[in-house]
Amino acid sequence: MLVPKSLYYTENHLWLRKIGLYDFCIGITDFAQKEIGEIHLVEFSKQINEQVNILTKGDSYGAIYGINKTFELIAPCDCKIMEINPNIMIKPSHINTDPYNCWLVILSIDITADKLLTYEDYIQITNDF
Amino acid sequence: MKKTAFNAIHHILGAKMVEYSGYEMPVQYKGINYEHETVRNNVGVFDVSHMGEISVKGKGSLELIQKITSNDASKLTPGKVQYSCMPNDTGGIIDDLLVYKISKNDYLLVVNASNIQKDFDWIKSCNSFGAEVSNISDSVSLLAVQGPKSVEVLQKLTDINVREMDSYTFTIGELAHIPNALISATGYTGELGFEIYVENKYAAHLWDAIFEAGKNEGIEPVGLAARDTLRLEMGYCLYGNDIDDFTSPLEAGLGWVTKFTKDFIHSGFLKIQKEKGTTKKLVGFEIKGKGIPRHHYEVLDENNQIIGSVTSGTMSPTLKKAIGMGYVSIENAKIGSEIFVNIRNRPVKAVIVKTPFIK
Repeated sequence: MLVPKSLYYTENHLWLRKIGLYDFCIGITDFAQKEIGEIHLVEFSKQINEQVNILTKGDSYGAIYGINKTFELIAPCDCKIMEINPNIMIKPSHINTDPYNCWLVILSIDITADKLLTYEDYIQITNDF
Repeated sequence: MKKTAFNAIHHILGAKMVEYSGYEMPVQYKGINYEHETVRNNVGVFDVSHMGEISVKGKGSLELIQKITSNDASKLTPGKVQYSCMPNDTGGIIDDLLVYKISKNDYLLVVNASNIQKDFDWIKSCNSFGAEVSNISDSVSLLAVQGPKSVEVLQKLTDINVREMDSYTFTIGELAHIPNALISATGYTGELGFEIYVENKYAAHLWDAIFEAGKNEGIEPVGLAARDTLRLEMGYCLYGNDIDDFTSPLEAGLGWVTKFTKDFIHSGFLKIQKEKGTTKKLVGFEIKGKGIPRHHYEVLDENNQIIGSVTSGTMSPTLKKAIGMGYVSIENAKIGSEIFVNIRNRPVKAVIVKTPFIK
C-alpha cells in the first residue's frame, strides 16, 4: 500500500495536499481505492454543482462508485469547496492507477494542518483496520 | 475466523481477503471486471468451501427432506440435483439449497455458509422420521469451475464423460487421481460449469491439477466480488440479500420450486398465498440515470412514495449498466414500469426489466 510521507490524511481515508495557506487538494488514498475496487463513477452532490459550496464537518458532498461498493465523500472539517476536478468525472478509473495524483476537489479549510493526520498516524490506522 | 483448505493458496496468490459468513475468503485477485469476463469467456475457479454440507441418510431421509423443503424431492433419481427452498413456519425462507440424491436413502444438502448451524438445528428439530442427520461441512472442500471452457479443463483430468453430463446431474468418481470426488454440473454464474466436492486433504492437489490442466484455456481464480456480479446478471437470489426469513418463496419468484403436490412445513399458508397473490414481488431493474443501487436503498414511485427496497445492486460488467433487484408492491411490479431508486437521497429513474439481465 502506497502512503506518501508529504501528505496529510483523514480517518476516513482521504489525503490532503497543502497548496496554500488554507487550501488543500483532496483525494482518496491507495487503501481506499483498493477497498472500493474498480471505480466506475465519481459524483458530486447536486448542491455543490449548484454553487452551494460551504460544507460542515460530516456533510456528504459526493460519492465514488465501485462495481460493488459505494464510497461516500465526507467533509473532514468545516470547509469551502473552491474547485472541482472536471477530469476525474471523465475517467474515474484513473483513481485506481494513480490515487495521489487524482485530486477530487480543492478545499479551503478553517483548521490548521496539525489537526489532520500525519503519514505516521494514517499508517497506524490502516494497520489497525 | 474459519479458514478453508485453500486459504494459504489465496494468500500466496495475493488475493484481497475479507471476512464472509465467518470465513476468511478471497474477494478478488486481479480485479472484478477481469475475473467476471474470464468466467463469461474462458474459465474461472472459485473456492466455495465455505458452503455447508449436511448429510441426510437412512430410513426416513426422503420423508424428512419432503417435510423441510418446498420442491418435490421424490422426483429425484440417484445422480440428480434439485434446487429447493427450506420454508420456515412464518412464511419466510430459512435457506435456499441444493438437494443431491446419492442413492436410495442417502442425500446431501448443500446450504449457505451463513446458515449452516441454523439449518442443521432446524433439520434436527424436524426429524421425527429417524433419519441420520450430520453436518459434514468442515470436512468438505468445494471448488466451482465455471465458464464455457470448464468442460475442456475437467475432461483432461477424468475418465468420466463430463461433456455428456446434463445440467443438474452429478457423478462420483476419480478426478485428478482423487478418489470419490463428487462432480456436479451446477453453478451460480449462468455459464456452463461444475462444482467439485472433495475431502479437505485433497484440496491443494485439486487446485493445482485444475490450474495445470487449464493453463491453455486462460484459467484464473475468481473471488466473491465477481461471483456476486455474475449471479446478479442472471437474476439469481442471494440469501441474506434477496431472500431471508421474512420473504416468502412466492414473493421471491421461487414458485417454480414450491410444489403443492406434497405437504411441507407451512405449505398451507403458501398455498393460500399463491391463490390470493402476494402484495410484493422481487423484480429486476435497470438504472436509467447516474448511480449504482445498493442493498437497502428505497424504491419510490413517481410521487416519491416508498414502494419497496433494493435487495442487490451492482454495475454489470457485461452490460456496462447499473442493475439491481428489489421488492416492490405488486401494482408497481410490471415489466416496463418506471420506478425511482433513492441513491444517496436522490431519486434516480429505473425501469423494471425481465430477468435474467443477460441472455
